[in-house]
Amino acid sequence: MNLNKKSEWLRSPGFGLLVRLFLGGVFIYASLDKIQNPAAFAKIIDNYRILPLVTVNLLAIFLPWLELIIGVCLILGIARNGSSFILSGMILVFILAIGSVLIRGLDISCGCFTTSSEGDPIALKRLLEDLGFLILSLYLWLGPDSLWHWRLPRLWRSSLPA
Amino acid sequence: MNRDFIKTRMDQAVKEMLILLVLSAGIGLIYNTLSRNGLPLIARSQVQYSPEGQSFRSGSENPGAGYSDLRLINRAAAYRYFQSDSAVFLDARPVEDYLQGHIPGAMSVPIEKLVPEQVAKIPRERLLITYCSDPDCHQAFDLANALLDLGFGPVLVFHEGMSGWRLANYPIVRSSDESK
Repeated sequence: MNLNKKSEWLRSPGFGLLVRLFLGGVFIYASLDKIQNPAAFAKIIDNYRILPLVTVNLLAIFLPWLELIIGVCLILGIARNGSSFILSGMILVFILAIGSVLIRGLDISCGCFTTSSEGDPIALKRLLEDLGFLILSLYLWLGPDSLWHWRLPRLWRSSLPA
Repeated sequence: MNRDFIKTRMDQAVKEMLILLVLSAGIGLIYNTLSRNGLPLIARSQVQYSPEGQSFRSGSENPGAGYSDLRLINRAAAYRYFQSDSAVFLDARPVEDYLQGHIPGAMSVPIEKLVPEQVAKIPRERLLITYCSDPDCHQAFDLANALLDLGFGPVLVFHEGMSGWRLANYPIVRSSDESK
């Protein structure tokens, strides 16, 4: 019983809202610099040496906007399932990418929050940070409804199970 | 938290996810088209490729590429130089990689530990061709730049490197074979 009481805050809608605001803020903040400097961001993606060159620019164009839109969705509480699912997917990909860089011992900048080549090196810190984000994001996806959230209009989910 | 629960959440997520992905891709593409900083959709290699190693320039689309005026050759051209023995191949990779297999007759000149004694052994009168492991590696370019700075004559970069050489099934020696 005691345990249940202690973990009650985990199920409170207010906590979900806080997590949403936090992750949304983080991802919107992370997206802005990349949207303004797509060339620098493309170079950073290329430096990871994971993707073939032909896909690098496309990802540099697409990913920052995905981050921004997901961030806005989280803050406004729109499409909670879809946005938190994509969020978890993105963070998982980031974790794999950073992990592979650490394993290969590449000395490149992360491009996580800034496209400047200084002050954002890939380090274990980033990996742990992303693991934390992943846990929060999975909480959003699988956890209880949070305060003030909306689903997409009925038109879009007419074929979904009730 | 059982499997059905996750499946339901997953089903709900899929449609919203598609909408969000398409939306992001659409806005991203539109913004990229309208923005002054827009990128070409398909990234091109930083170094322009020239089959015969004649014309060459590093791409101006990617500032900061850092490699100026290096001449590149592909594996067919490299193989012709190899067969006619008209060039000296320089292996820019670390010695361990060199020992595991290199182009026959190539000298090991690891750029990361470049020492004057090694540079002194490089013939000045001959055409030099640098290479490293694959098209993504930088050592061959760095070595070629360093040699040009040191006043060495014509230097070509075989940018496909050992991986390209292997793919073509051209001969490879290990150092132990050569010393026999």
